[in-house]
Amino acid sequence: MGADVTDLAGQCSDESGNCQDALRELERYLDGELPESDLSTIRSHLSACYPCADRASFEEQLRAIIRQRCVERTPPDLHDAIRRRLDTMASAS
Amino acid sequence: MTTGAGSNVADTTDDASEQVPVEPAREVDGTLLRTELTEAERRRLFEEQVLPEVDRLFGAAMRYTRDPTEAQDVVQEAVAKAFSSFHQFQQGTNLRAWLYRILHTTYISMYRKKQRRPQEALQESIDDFSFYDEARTGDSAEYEVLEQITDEHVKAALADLPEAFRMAVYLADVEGFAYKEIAEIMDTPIGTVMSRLHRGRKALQKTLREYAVGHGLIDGDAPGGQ
Repeated sequence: MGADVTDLAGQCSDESGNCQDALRELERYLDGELPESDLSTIRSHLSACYPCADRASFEEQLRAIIRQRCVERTPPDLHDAIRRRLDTMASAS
Repeated sequence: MTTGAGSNVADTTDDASEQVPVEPAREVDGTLLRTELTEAERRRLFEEQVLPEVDRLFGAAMRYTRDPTEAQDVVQEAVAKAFSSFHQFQQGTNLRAWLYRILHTTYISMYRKKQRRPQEALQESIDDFSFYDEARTGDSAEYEVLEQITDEHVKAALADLPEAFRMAVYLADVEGFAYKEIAEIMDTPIGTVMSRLHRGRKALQKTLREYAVGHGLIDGDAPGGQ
């Protein structure tokens, strides 16, 4: 992860190192796994820094695309097969 | 998991063994007294709570097995196992995580032995890959690149990931499980889940980038593309 963090920091107007911090936390932030105490720091950075916000938004959309594209059609007889299996188990017990 | 039910049974056996059982209690302090459910009630409760999850379980099994027939077999077997151990499930706790844990262990016991590929790792260099940076190199806006990604691309790119990475990414990005839940489902430490997710997502994105290059959406000569 090190390389792209450094590269990206060069694109940011923020020179305080906040970009590196934000990008290091971005994955956990998008996963909803950052502790409450760290949320305000990354949120205020993302609201102030366009490059980081754009990257975050891309990552979010990519996740949405993956989720939407993974839908499967359940074979029509799977539910019936399961009920029959449960019937068999119930009558055996 | 079953300690609560066990102590209830113990409490009633002192000198009350001859008593006619009281009407099954639905809930005591938020916990259903499972031991007092009749077979029919247990079946009804199971159908009510678990059958609505079957479609999603099938989706997960498809990503696990990459084969519709095997996926159906895994789901059937997992649901049967869940039914047999449903009395151990503590009502009010995380049913989905419990079911996916069963699905996971069922898949492993049924298919790992005949797995086509050994456990694989991902190259260290994957850590430096950034789909975002690459997607900005073409003529299309990076969001247009994302929109062009099809179901087949995503499914093939997931199928391409080594098993442990594929499962972690699927459980997080498609099923929305938290790190802790994935750790329980896959029986691994949270740190392992996080690194599998990080690297698995990078590898997935790299494959998606290759589709995007193949379709002329982004520039294949961009730095970092290899």
